[in-house]
Amino acid sequence: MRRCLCLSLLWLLPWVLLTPFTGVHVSPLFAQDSDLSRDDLIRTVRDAACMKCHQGSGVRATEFAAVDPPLILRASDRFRPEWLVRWLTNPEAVEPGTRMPHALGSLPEEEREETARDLVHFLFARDRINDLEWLPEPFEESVLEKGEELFFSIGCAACHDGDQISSQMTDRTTIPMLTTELQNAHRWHPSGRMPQIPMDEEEARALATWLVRGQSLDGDGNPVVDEVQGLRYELHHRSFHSCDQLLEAEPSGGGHTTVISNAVRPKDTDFGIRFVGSFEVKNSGAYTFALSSDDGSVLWIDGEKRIDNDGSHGTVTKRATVQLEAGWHPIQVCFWQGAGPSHLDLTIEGPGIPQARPFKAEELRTRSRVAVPAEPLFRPDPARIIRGGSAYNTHGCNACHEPKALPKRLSWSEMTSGNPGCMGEEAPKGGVAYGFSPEIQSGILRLLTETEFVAPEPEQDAHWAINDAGCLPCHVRDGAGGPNAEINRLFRGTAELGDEGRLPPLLTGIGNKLRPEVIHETVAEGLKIRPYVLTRMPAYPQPVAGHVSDMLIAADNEPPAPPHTPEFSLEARSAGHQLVGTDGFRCIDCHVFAGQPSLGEPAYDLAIMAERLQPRWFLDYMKDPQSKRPGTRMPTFWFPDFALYPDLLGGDTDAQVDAIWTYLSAGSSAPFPKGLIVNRNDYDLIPAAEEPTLVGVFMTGLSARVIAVGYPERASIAWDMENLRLGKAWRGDFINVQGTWAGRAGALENPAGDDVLNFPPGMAVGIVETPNQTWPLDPVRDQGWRARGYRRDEQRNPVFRIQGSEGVSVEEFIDPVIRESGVHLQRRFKFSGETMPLGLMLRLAISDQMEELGPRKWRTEEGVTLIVEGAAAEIYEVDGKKEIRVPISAPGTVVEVEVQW
Amino acid sequence: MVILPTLILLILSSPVLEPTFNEAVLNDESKYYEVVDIPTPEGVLLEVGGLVAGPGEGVVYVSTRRGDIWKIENTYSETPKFTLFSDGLQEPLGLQWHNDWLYTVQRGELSRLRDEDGDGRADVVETVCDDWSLSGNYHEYAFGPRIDKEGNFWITLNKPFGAEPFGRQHWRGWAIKVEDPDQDGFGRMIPAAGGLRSPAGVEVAPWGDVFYTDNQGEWCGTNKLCHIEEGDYFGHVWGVESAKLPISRMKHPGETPDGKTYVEVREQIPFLKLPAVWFPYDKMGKSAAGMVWDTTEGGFGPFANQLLVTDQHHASVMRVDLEKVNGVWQGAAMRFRENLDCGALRACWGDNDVLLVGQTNRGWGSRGKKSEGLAYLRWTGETPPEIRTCRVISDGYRLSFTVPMDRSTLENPENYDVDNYTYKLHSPYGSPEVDHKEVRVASAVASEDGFSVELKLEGPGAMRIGYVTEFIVPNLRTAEGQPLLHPEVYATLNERP
Repeated sequence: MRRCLCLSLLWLLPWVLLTPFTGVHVSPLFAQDSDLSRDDLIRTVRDAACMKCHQGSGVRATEFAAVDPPLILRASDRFRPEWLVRWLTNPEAVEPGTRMPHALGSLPEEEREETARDLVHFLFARDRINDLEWLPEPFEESVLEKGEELFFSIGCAACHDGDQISSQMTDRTTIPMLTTELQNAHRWHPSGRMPQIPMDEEEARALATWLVRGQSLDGDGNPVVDEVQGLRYELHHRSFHSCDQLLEAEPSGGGHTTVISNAVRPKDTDFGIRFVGSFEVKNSGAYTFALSSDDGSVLWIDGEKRIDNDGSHGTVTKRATVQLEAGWHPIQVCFWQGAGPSHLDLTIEGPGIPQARPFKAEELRTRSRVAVPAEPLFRPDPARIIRGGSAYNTHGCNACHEPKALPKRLSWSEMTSGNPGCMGEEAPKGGVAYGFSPEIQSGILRLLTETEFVAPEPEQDAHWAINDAGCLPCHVRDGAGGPNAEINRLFRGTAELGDEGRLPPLLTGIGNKLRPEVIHETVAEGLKIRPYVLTRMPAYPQPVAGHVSDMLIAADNEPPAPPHTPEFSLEARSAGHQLVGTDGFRCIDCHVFAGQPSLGEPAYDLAIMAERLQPRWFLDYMKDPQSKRPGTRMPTFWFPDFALYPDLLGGDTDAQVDAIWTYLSAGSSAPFPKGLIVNRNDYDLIPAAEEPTLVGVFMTGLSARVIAVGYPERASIAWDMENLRLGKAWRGDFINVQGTWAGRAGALENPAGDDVLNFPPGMAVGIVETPNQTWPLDPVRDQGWRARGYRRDEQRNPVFRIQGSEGVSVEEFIDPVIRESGVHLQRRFKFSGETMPLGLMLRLAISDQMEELGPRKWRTEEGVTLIVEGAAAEIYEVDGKKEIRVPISAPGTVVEVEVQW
Repeated sequence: MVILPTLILLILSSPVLEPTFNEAVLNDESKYYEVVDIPTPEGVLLEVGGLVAGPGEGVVYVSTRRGDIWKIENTYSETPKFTLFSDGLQEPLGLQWHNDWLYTVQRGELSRLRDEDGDGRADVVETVCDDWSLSGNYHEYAFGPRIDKEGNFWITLNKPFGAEPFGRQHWRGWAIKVEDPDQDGFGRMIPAAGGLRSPAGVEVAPWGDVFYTDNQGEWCGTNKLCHIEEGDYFGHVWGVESAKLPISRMKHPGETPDGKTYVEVREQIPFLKLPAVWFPYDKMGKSAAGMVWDTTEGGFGPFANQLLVTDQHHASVMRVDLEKVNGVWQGAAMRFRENLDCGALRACWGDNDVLLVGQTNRGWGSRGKKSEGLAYLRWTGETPPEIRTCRVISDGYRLSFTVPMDRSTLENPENYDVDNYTYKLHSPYGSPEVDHKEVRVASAVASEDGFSVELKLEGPGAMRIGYVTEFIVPNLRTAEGQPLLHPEVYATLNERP
């Protein structure tokens, strides 16, 4: 039998447009063109997985190696037995164009199904599967719509045909199995053939339900509805004042559960749940129900309100005794939670139930749409398992699938054109038949025996890599790839940004556009920075992700671009700040900034550009956007003979672009551009542009009396009122105070931003007997210090004040300062009083090592730089560590220290 | 008019009351006391913790649970002006002016603030006293400060409830006073009395005595109003170990028995202070909070010199008539104005004898359609038909009324449904009413003018010390034939004359 490699007209499209998932990647040139190129031949060898059986070595083995197939350990988690039998009997019949060879092809036709069945028993036995029963799976009708929406928006449809994959999955799997598989793609696909599209469990379940929806239709195409164990529940994502209010509200989501509790809650506070269905009692008689909840709940039985435990309260239990006939009774439980902890349980006690207990699953039922896998009970058969094990080896399954063994086949060097073996029409015993034409047969032999190996160009390697990984159905690189017209329509996003707002980005030149570590991270973790593109970048397993990234970086840096490092100055940073805002090029009209919405379209976040892009690419792109992204909506702001802002940096184009880069280099801790309308939600505090924001909180690692200060420069500090010390500093976002401002509050808060710096324990001021005495860490009161509060200076920055026992008082000023690496802090200590107590010192830093960078300038081992002015700071050896200390003897002394971290 | 869901439930589940009757009551309250909301600009969230009027006409300062103090000008106009006086405070739950400083108590300190350049913003926040500590529990609130006749600042400190991330601390569940800080700005803490639970209001009476309100829970049978004197013990066991420290003004009470009535426990611990007023749970609110004496001399209606107490859960203001018998304070509690838009935490007098009411229900929930806000109550000038006072006489009580009553209804003993009960001091959350015993009105003698009636009580429950006498009187009628606006009163008896 000659295997037809040309399966449909689809194959006549350029090969790069073919998805790697729908079939063998064999160029159509094969079947019709005798003038085969070397590339075509390599592709054939890879797709036929020749190297899996026939040994090669060295670079050649790598170049010709096939992509690894899915793992089939735990096949029982992915496949139903009957489908797997059909698949193994004839893969091509189940999935036309599959790469899976017809392994049982050498058997007489009538034996294939039996052997396939043996193999299934063997594979399932390997997974330690015992009897498998296939139960109806209830689902909420509304998830079908959500599943369909996901399939056609997040990227599935770029590679899979919706109808085909649905009909496959309906026979192949179940809702729970597929839900797990969709969230754990790498578990079965170490090659990344099916990469992991990020999704949560609810999404995976919706997708799975939609994909196997055929199981929930009867022969006439009508929905299947049945009684199932458990109750239906509806979720509400808001708070209520009463169950009556909940009953009037529109639910958002729901499902099935066999337990009446808060376990299905959508979040910890501000939610509601309604359970509905029926319960059964075996005997007639009086039953006592106990409904316990925090906050409110109400129980209805047979349509009557039986327990009213409504209201905002801690855990309260209420009971009711109800006379019930044996049989089924409708039940409804409503429950809502405002702030604080939540609780819900319901117990029953009565004839035959001597001890109050929750309902058992089998005592609850509800009618529901169900998916019913049409699958007989599977019971492992020992004889089949043994026969299957032997067939697994005989038919060479283990050439590709685990546990792998290299079958004893001829090595390349031993092959001759006289014996086509598996390349011919007839499958050798225990082998497969590829049915290659004589031209291909001889071409392959010629390729594999060529003596001189030609190393591929880097670009060629890159192309193989992104093709194998399946990048090209979505992305274009150098004119190749991208979705075809039909698929293209499925990509959706924001209309205002045109195709850039909906299509995945170009891969042309990606290796010198993004920083190498960003490429690696993006491929390995499925990073997506354009929230408006609905398609999700999938994550690839290692080492595939690393290989793809390395290949792209190598191809695009040949030859390497000249390096470019913009120079920092305060003037440049300030010019950049201006140019990005509404007094400049108004970048924020279209671009998001540090998560804050733009004034118009939601394009790529400006604050992450510098950490992702290469400065050379940024410079080139800004000067001529069309050169890098043909058709982009990004305007051109600089013109050869005309500067829009001639006064800034002399109107010099490169200097202005570099200035923007300098400003953006501070990332999300850069001060907000002018004109940005900051989106304040209730709990993410964002300091105003004019003055710092203060908030009193409990803070992890400090105390229950902390004043957090967020400065407009996007630096923040935490001052510990209990221990009279500067405790922490950080950059970027200030603080989320939900734990302090929501509900009863009282949570320990943490900095919201980055680069959190913890200051040395204890107060910065102290009194010691000798300059290198151990720093006093006793409670501040015991040391004679007490809080005097703070005053606000002209900028309304707080100046913290402490008072000592001998009339000495200390003010600590803390002000943000801007340097090349971003925002840092200046601390200024002002000592006043009649006299200074003997032994008064400041301690500014402690570390195992202090590197001296200049006069009164040190860097700690942890990378904190301190520059001290105004007094004689020195390094003191204390208890084996190095400490920067400053003796204070004169009233009026002012010590300034810049802290860079 | 918006009818509250809880009220609907109440109406539906209560067959004796016709819904129309209750609606009539709602209407009636607003006929005498009108509620006016103070509009807040967008971005200002007034979860009111502290409230003080002035200085100056139309000026009110409000501290919020989020830690802001707002200065409001033109408060009573349609467009009040809000200025952020200060941010960054930790749950400031009270405000008080003293010598040009605005005092507030944060979780961990008594502080004072001052605007030095007159721009409406505080320039200095001074720590006056931080002699107590925090474990980092949400329930460690501090209430006050209120200045007594000697210049001490009274503060009541909540006990924690749950996790204490920074470790257990002293003085939780205490009433403390801070000595006058006028010398150097620092004041020393004097722990005056212990055994408090959740003392959400502390106030100095016009004559100088200090009172506080407490909230039902473990070791607090129901909400109560107590007179505080140095050395008093109020029954909550949480913080009693602090009494062993030398600065404590309260002796250690030893072990508090779990499950006896308050009067029984007092036999064992003589300095256990009985409440001046019990607020029977749910009948008189569910969470007593701030309070204020009616010093308007009639400007706010017929209740001059009485005490008004806000209730957080019921979104209401209650009324208390206090009397001192044999040197001991006791009194009677009555409903006054309900159906505010949100739980009422603070009250203070504003301009023109209006009662400002600061509201918040975050974390606890309350009746009403709002979650926070500032409103005021204004007397419409119409006299509500109410029981004005309820005072003990040798063998019963004398009720007085705001309007002349129909003497025949007053003198019919059948018109008084009387009950007598008390509460347990115990570790479970709240106490039921216990030890109910029968009480009857033996005789009812009305005054000539119909403004009062003397009730002689008899029966096993009559006139028991440490017990509540409850009068339910829906059948009393005014001379004009109207029922009383709030036909019930709950009198606590500590002393008989």
